[in-house]
Amino acid sequence: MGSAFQFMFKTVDQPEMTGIPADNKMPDRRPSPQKVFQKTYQKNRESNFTEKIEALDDHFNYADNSGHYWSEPQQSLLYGTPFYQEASETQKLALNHLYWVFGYTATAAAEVQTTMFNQVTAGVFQQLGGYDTLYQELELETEQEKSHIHAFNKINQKTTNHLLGPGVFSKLLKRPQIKASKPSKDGKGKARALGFIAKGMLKHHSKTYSPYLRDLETKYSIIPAPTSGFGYLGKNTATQDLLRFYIMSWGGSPFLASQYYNVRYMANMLLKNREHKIFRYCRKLQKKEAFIPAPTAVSYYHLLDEAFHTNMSQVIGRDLYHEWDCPTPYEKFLSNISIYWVQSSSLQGLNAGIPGLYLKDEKFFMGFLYQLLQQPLFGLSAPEALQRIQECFGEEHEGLHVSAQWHQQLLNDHCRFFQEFSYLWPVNRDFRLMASGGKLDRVMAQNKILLQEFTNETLRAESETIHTAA
Amino acid sequence: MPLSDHYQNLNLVNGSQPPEKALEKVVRSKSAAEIQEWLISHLATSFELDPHSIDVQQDFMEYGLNSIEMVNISGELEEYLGCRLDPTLILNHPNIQVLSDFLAEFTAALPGDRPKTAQEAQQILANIDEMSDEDVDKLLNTMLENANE
Repeated sequence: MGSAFQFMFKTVDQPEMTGIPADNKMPDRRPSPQKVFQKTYQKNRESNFTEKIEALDDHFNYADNSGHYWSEPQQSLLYGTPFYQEASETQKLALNHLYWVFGYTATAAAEVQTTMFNQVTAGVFQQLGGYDTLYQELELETEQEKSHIHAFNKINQKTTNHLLGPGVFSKLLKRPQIKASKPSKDGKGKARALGFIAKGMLKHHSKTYSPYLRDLETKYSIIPAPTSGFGYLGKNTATQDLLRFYIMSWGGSPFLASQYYNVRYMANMLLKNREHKIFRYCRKLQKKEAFIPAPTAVSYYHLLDEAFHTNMSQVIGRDLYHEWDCPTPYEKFLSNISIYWVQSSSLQGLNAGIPGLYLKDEKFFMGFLYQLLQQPLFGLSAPEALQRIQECFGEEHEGLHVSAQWHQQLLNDHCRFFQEFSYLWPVNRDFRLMASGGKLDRVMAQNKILLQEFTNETLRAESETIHTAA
Repeated sequence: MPLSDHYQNLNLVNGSQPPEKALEKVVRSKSAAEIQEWLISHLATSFELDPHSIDVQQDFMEYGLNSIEMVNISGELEEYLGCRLDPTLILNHPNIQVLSDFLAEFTAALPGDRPKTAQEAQQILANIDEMSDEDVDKLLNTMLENANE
């Protein structure tokens, strides 16, 4: 069955889809990937940014940092909205801290995925042989990610416990539509079928199949697909299945293993888009000899640590596959779909209430901010909070303009990097989905529709609550 | 001013507990059964499930646990057990039974996981301002250097 699928894709997907001839040569001006791996591994081992993050993690105390901005005010929830303009200084500080927490909750979730995907793909390179340094660097990065996640989680929990009370922030971020339940036999059957297809479609998969993935298969009844991280993967069961399919594909082919690093690069750059601004803020404070809050310092060292990871993502995703046979049309197809998917889910939106958030799921975040405004810290009634959400998403304001500018910066970075990928579809090479998501008139038109839906749903829910209580 | 000085000053200004004391954790060794009970209760609360319906041999992921919740649970387990844990440990310990057995063994074997002292933290942080803007930019541009070499 596998070979039948391979045949089908070979006949329907041809290199001329991109308009650029397939070519497996790496530009001569670049050093070999092996040389870069050795240099990066050596520099990363010599650095001690992770240890510094661990020290800050060990000693974090919210009270010591509560009276200071952790980044420029632009990096605050609801920045630029009428509510923000009228907020008290204490509330503005809280919105700034909660922005940090919000961002690093997402980063921690994405890094959980990274620890797994690094190991899945490192296993493929290990099976290929001759990539010992790459394997060691990925192992080191995985350990570093664990320290990062730990620090983010500690700061996030202490901060939100203080500002909102234990468990409140997590509850606000929880999606009501995902209910825990016993998995159905259908779900397990579907997962097995997807695994069968993923493996069947890949040539020689048994020779390079990731030992880490094989180990997971023996431990779990279905391979875990840690969701809610980058790419907003797993927002529902359909995308969870798709993610699981990708994990098995990344772990079964050297080309696809290397292409996972293009997705990781997109995550690295999205993080850098936010974190480099905190980094510059930290440098500014240092020069002024002003107090540096611990979370600001964590961001500073994290950016430095992640510079190694970004470098690796770039070289593995862009250069490494030139050392192997040309990828099959099916492999190129999967690589394109993954980039298209991330563009569509994570980069195509422009959130009016959370600057620098490009997820295309505005309605969920309207709900998040609506609930947040009703917490004692902000003290709004339900109708007042709804009015603030309508102002935030229904009117153009400075926060939205700031977000559009940052979105454009990231778009330029991606277009520059992905231009030379000959096998990418034009929609991916030029990041056309992402570009369409940054247009303000379109954002405002979409917000108008979503806001109407959100208002109707909220009013209906409120009236049902009142009716039930009565 | 070095970044480390900020933290030194801060401790003096606040006059709070010395950091070593404030952060000291006592490892609480628990049996596998106790940890299992804690995990069942936690999962039941988080997912609004009847504790009796939870199967200790069922994969965590099958309960709809996502990456954020995975990290949250490990953070709360740390508080409960009083020791630093790998925030991704659920990835390698698929269900309540396996995780409880592992943690019971792990905490029993810990000699006392001493966190870094404030002095050590300050020493680690002491060199930040030795990096010039040029050094920092150079490091951040590693990828560009590699691309253009």
